[in-house]
Amino acid sequence: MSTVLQSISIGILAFFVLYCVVTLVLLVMSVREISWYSRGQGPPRARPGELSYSPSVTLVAPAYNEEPLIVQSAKGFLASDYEPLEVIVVDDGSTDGTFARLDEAFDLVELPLRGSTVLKTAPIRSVHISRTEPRLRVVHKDNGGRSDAINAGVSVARGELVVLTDADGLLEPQAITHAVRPFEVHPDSCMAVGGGIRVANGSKIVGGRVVTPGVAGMGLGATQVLEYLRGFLGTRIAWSEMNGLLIISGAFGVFRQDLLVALGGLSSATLGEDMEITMRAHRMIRPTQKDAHVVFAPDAVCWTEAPGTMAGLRSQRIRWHAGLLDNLRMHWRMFGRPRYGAVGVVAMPYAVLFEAFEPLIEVLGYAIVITLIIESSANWTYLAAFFLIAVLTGQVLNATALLIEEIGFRRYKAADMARLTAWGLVESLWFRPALAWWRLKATILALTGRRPGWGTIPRGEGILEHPPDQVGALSR
Amino acid sequence: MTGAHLLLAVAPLHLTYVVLVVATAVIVLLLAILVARHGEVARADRRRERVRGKLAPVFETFLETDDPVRLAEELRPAFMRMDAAERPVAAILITDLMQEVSPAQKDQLRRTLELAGLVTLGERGTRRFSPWRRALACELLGKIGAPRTVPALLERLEDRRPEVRLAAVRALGDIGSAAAVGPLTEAFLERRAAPTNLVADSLLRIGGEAGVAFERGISSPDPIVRISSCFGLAKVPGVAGDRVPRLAELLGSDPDARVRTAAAAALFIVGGDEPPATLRDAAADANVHVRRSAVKALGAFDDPSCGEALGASLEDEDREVALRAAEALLALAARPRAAPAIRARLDSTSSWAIEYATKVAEVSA
Repeated sequence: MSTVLQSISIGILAFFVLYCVVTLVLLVMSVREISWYSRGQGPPRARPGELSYSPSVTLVAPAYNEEPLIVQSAKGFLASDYEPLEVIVVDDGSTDGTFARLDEAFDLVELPLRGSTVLKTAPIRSVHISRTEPRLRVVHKDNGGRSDAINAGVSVARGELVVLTDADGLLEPQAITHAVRPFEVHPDSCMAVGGGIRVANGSKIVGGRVVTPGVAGMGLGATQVLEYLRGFLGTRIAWSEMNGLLIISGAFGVFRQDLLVALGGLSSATLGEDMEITMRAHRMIRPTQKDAHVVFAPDAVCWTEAPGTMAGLRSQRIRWHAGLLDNLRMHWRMFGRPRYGAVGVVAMPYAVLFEAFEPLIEVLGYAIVITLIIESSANWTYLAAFFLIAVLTGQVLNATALLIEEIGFRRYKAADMARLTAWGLVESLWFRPALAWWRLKATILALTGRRPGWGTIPRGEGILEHPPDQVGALSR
Repeated sequence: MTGAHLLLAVAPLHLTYVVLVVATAVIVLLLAILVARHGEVARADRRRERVRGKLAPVFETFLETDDPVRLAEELRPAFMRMDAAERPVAAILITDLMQEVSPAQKDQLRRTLELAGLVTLGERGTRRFSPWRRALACELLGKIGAPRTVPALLERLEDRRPEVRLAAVRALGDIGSAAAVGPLTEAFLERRAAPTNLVADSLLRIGGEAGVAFERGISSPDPIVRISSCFGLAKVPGVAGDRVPRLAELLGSDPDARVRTAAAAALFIVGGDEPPATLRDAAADANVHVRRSAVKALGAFDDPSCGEALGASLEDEDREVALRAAEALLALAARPRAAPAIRARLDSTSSWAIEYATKVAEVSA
């Protein structure tokens, strides 16, 4: 028994060392990159509004039963400082008064839109324009889910670029300007841009805007703030530098409209439709256009409300992990293939090894420790020492993420940073084991062909088999 | 991290302690950097305020006098009293002020900065070891806008760091000196130094002399250069009136649909009285993006004959083409030459796209 445990332990040790080394390399790359931000030279290192032409942008926000917040959200989107901007709110067959509230607030008038939609969606009942805010359109359609609602919005969109966000997303006024910058600089090769997502829990929100960023006093909110900083600032900057970004968060991403249409729109066949469309873009475009790239813009910020309860967090993380596994399965052909650049050679192996398999290994590790304790063969000195190591190595990653935040953005006060550091010290005790367990459950669901609240997994829907050739040239 | 727990099965205790000490040291170091950084930023804020206070009397003098020599005499000692950390801050504050004043005052301030030695300091900065200092120096020189700094900036087009090359390209555009046209043209045509669109933008800011870059670019074998050249040719001032035929020829002959799309979009920017025949043909191009672009461009030519092509596009299978055709017809209905014929056509045409465009126009008005 102990020989078997020892062999497994050596394997896990190797995994652990590799994980630490790779993650540290990513963090160092991010620190190096972010230092340019602090000098006012953020990638792709051009000032917003520097160029003489700004591409037209349509913001698409799907809404389902968002009656209490929808008017404030729409006003928030319209308050963006970017021009020219069109805002499309897609009422995805809400059963509450979402549409009525919009009609009441913005004095909507129906537009006589005819012809077939460029993307297949559930029937669109009507399209409206606001008399008080002519930049606002409201699409009223049958319910079809988030991807379907976005596809309907993209079909109606008239901007060259499309911002995809959620109806409850709180965009900073300059967020779209920052996110559009890479398209202005690289209009021929930039496929999509992902914005930085930050946790709004604990921040002061006035009129649909985060006016004073803060950190929730309770552990769940604070730990998620830290986790988002680690995920978005710690590693995505590095993946972006390598052109290996596998996901543009559904909360805030910008795509070329013609590319989205050519790719067939967002897929309804996966829970991780944001990751799926990003991976599909890589898969379809990279082999024929070597310089095509997906960019992460950390200064383009969207604030989002993170789950406030463990039950909410559990549901979210199971869904996320199921989406990850779906997408790795759907796009496994990119694995290890140099024709997909860093996505095939680095990002896919990383995602499989350190994201898909990690919960299995982590839970296995916990099980071994518990077994050793039950068998009374645990050396308590070792156990204490290694527990400290586990906490401290986690803290190295946390401290680096906080350093990146401090160098590049400085949105939090010193007291908030101290609170984040403190919660980071104890996350190994409760947050990480919980995440590992939920992700393991998602893995089991995936392996048995089920998914949370969705029955069986539809196989391979929404995937184009040939590279799209119907992409135009952005104006400039 | 879980693997760390499992080391207990295999690792000797002293190794554990080593890892523990190293991890602690790294965290302490990172936290120290974090605190130091926080302090550094606070000091930088205080420094900025201090420099602002020192420069305030000089700025007041500047607003009162039009004598650059006297201003330089006041600025130089104020500047020399500052330490090495304060001088770049002062330079940035002064160039910020330059963005807010009239062209004449800007010119006066530029001469003052030259007399005070700030331009020389900036030129020296472009050769500093630290890449971000080189980039900052380039940016500063661009804001100052002294033509004598062009050679120093041209040198930076070959810098090993992309950030510095980009800053140099941008600065050359800011200065707008014709001396930079040659090297920037080569960088544009060969797609080096900086992203093509930024080089094109700098060339555009230089003005008419840069037209040669785009004229050469539209016959480049590289489609990306041809695309940028279309827009460049359309926007660059002072190019002879033959840009419409050149763009029209490209629109009619280029095998790459993206280039044709760009050529049509460029024709929209140029506009005119009579649309080229290839633009009318492009409204029926097999590629939907070319059609969209061409239909929009037809609305920029004040010619009644555009109505026929646009009328046909109202029935296009692509909804966006139909909408753009309707918008183009509405635009032409307000132009002097085309208006009578186009209005007659609008009155006799029943189309959802026209109804849509009319309603949007009414609401937007």
